[in-house]
Amino acid sequence: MRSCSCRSHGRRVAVVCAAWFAFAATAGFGEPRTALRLGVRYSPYRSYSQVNRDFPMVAGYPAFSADLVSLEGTLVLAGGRLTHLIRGAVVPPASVSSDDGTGQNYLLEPSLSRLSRAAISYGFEHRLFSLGAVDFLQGPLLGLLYEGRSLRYLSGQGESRRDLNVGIGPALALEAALGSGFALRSGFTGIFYLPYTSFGRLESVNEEGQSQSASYRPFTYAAVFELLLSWRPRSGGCIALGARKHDQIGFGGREPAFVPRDILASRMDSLHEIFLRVSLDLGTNAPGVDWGGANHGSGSRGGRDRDG
Amino acid sequence: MGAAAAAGGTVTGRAARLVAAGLLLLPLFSCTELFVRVERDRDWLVGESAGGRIVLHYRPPSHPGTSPEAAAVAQILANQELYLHLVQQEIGRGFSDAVLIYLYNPEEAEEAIGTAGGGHAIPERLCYYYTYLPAPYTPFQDPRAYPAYIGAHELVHVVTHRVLGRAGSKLLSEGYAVAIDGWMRIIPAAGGQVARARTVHEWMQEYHDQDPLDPPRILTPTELLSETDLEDVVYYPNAGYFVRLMLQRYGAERVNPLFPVPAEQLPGELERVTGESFAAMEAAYEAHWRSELAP
Repeated sequence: MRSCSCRSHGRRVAVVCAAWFAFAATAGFGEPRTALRLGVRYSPYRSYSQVNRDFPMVAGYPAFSADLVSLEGTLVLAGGRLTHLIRGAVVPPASVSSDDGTGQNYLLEPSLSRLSRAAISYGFEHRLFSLGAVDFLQGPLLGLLYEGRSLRYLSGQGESRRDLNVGIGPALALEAALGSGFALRSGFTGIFYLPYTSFGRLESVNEEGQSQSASYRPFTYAAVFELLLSWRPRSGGCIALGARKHDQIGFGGREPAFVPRDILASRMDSLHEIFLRVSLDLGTNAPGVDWGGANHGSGSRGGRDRDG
Repeated sequence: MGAAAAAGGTVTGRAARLVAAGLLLLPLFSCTELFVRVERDRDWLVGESAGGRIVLHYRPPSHPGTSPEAAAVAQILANQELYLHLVQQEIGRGFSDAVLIYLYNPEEAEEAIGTAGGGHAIPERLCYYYTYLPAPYTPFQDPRAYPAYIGAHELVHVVTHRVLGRAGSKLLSEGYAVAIDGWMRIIPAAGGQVARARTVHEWMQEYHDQDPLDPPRILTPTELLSETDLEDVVYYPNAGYFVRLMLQRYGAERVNPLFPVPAEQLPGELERVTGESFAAMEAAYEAHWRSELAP
């Protein structure tokens, strides 16, 4: 009975999300203009332990840590009041260590522990309103995230988990033109990776070489706060420097569920990232297209000095 | 003058817009903090046991509250090193990683780890969090004779989950921990004194001897698999008592493979591994406790 109810609930969530996307994505899209953004991002990864399981939970040491460098590309397709964004990012395998809270690694063999990620997302932004030189943007985002983490403990035992997460959530942003080609943008994106559309596999090997494996269904929430300064030279294109606070929390149970039950994997990740990216106009009639709907909101506002 | 005022106005206007943007987005910082707060707590001293297998993080004397003294730290390290050896003996498997212990002062433990009378384990991190209970204690001679500062319960969780696999049922996860620890304590009274510390046998004896009009508190294996929401003080001793019998009756080598098996598959797997039907095993268990707990 319980699993039937959960499946039904999951279907309802999926239908509502699909309807939201379909309605919004087809509204207000005019003649397209395109740009390509290329970027590189440095992310000190910290995956914290669950120190207090009561709500609200407390995360702390020992933490798994890694220095991640990711490459990303975004295709920006702007038209009418909408800007569509198709983004891909990949994090090549990086070494993972641990920090017990005093800077010591008592747990992992860094040379044999690896973390890698890949993400694809589609979203669009819609300018809701403007206040002076500040535009308020919003829109949904559909994201797919793969993460593989393979840990080798100092004793030789190992544990790896790989999960594929599909989620949806809102994106909000404020963009302010500062003049002289500079713009400042702060944005928030929240993505709920749903347990009904996400899948994980956990494998462990003990010191004697005996292995265990189990499947889990992750339910995680990612919150990204971004602050970005951009500059558009008169020659076209755009260059941007930004910082992000990226947190992802959640759990994976044996069965898909929104409440913690029979947990096999948990996630309390925090990344403080910096990034640099360059936008290239691709046959656009709106120089400097990078991200925001404000650039393309109306004829009178087209071509403003923005990046996002 | 006019140009300067205009320029000043522009700058002020830009600043105002930036502040407005920042204020609008400020609440969003707390989006994950509503659910999880990250404490980058680095106020620890670290002690290692002689064998280097136990790494105890404890509060320095300058930390608010009652921090452990050197003698207590040495005692805990020795206890845990010995317990680690005994846990491996009980399950018949080796474990050579270090175990990290984070010992919180009693005044902060409730807020920090959710309990002021015990702790919990995170086997993936080879660690557990525990409350320092500055109660008088007996110098450690026999781990089964005295309830140590920190029992073996959480240590068993770390070792079994790493060596035998992620637990598939609460029965075996808690059952192994209670059976191997041998003790169960509840509720620290005022001043950090442990109100009740008893062996598993003593708990079960009390349940056996209680008023027969009370609800029965000796659970059958079927109830242990299904009624996992019972209060700990009832569930834990029952699970430990049952697992103790399983280990004695079938041996760790045959019981260990059942550890990661999900609860709903456990009866079938038990029959397959032991060659004995679940019904027969239940009957044998009842006969055992009726005999052992008889006045």
